[in-house]
Amino acid sequence: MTLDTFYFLSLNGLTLAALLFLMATGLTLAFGLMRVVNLAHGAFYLLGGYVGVQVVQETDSLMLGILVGGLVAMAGGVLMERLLLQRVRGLDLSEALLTIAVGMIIADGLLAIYGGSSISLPLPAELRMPMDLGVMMYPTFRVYIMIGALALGAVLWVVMTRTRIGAAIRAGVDDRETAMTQGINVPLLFAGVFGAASFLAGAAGVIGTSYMSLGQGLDVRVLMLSLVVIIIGGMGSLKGAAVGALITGMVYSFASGYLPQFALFFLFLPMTLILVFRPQGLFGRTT
Amino acid sequence: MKRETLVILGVVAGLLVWLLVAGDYAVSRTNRAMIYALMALSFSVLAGRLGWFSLCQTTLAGVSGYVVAILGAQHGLPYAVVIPAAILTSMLFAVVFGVLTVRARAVSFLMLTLALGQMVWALSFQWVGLTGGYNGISGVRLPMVLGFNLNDPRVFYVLLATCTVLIFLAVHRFYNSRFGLLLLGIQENEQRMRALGHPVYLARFAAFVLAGAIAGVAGVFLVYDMGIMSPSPLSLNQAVLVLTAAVLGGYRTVWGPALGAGILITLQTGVAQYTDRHMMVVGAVLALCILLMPRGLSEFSWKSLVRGRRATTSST
Repeated sequence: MTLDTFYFLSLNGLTLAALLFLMATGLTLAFGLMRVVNLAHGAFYLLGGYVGVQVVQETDSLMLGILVGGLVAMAGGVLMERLLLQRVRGLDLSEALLTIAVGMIIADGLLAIYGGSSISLPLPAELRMPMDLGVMMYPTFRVYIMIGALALGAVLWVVMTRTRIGAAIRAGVDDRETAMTQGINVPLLFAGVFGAASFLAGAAGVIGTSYMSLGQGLDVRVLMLSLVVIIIGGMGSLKGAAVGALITGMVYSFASGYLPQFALFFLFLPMTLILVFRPQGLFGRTT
Repeated sequence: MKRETLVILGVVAGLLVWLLVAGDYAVSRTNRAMIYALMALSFSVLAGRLGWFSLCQTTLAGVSGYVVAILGAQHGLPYAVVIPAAILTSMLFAVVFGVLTVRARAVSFLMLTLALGQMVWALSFQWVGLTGGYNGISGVRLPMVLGFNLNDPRVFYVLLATCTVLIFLAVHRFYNSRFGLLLLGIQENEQRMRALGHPVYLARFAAFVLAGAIAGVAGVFLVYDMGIMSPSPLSLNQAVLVLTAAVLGGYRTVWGPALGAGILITLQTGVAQYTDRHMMVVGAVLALCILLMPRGLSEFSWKSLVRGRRATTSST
């Protein structure tokens, strides 16, 4: 194998890892803090993606598109949490099943509105230009995606471990009643976390469209990839999502480069090994 | 025993009368409903006895369907080889999935079966050489037996109804057997069952493979009913459809899955005349069930609707 191919596949793997991290953080955040597995996550990705890309097409502003896509998904997430999940709070299986139902309804609605044809993200010329990375030329936007994912990870880590909000969230998770007696508004906090997680899904939907185009069935594929990432990394762990995304992205990129028809099998392999030898995931806590 | 015999006679009589009075389209929809009832039964064996909600039972059925299509339609192997091979392949997949999921709890199990099932679905798209990709494999036909064309919906109905009734009966016996009760015991209190010396993981694993076999049978009927095998029966939509049928009818009883599948297929058939948005309907039905009657119609009571909105879906 030539060195150029190696660099190219590595960079593709890193880009995919960055995208997977964007997709999976929302899921792992909601699970880690609220014990809710949001199986509508893929549908929120799709919702944010379609609406955001439409905004980009009409206003030519990428930032506005990402913001609107995220906000629409966030509205969906908060509504779902307030109207439905509240009613079965604490019954984790019922919560998960409700999110599946919501995901089905959203995905089917999007199919009705936007049709089945695939849509890709119109990028401005300066972002499509390749950038010189020293070892090779690589599309500028993909470099930005990697930087963005790193920044997001850093921000979330700081918020969770170094701020009062992070401390309040962690307290609410560990002991809801005591946290509430300390004057922490736990329901509001949780709605906020759920909203933030959905925002990330929607924003990832716009950004990810530069890598794989939007279309029917993408919600399920995104959900599957995000689940694989957090199963490998450990459910609820931010570090786990980062490492899981890195492993999954790299394995998938190199496998599609050399053995494309078995790419999925190689995606399945790390997950299987984890499930057999460390079922709670690399950084997961046993409950 | 007396009551059981009466119920069986009633069901058989009902199925026979339906065959005589129903039109061709109604019979073919009933065939589809029975196939979904089998898949919902496979789901319910795990959900009702173990509290395991699986999103890969349709995948196991789909795997069996692909084996029938590949060995039967493409390679022309005899039916006596193809059908057992299909069901065994489903069980083999269930063995692999079971090894990976046997230690998981309710929600992790749901996630794992979703991820595993959707990987097989994605594989069925990608591995075009084997599965024919999106177009699938067509020309899956049943033979003529004793002058009867098994592909005729009414003849197929007789075959399918016989198998369905027998399988439901077998599952009814299974629920009342020592093994069936052990599974309930594990769901109630896993620690206690382990302390009593029961092999908890092995029992769960065996139940998973058994449910896989039922799904495999459903898959064989499904592929012959459709005449073509494509990735769509393995999609998440189908898994959710089957889950909804079981939750609607009541996954803790034997006949609940059949009831749920019947209602849902009838609903779909009715809705299809007006709109393509039947997955929206399925999603709405599922959400309403979870909110209003988490144990389904077969265990529905008005009292629980008024008093206990929080009645549990899971036993945890």
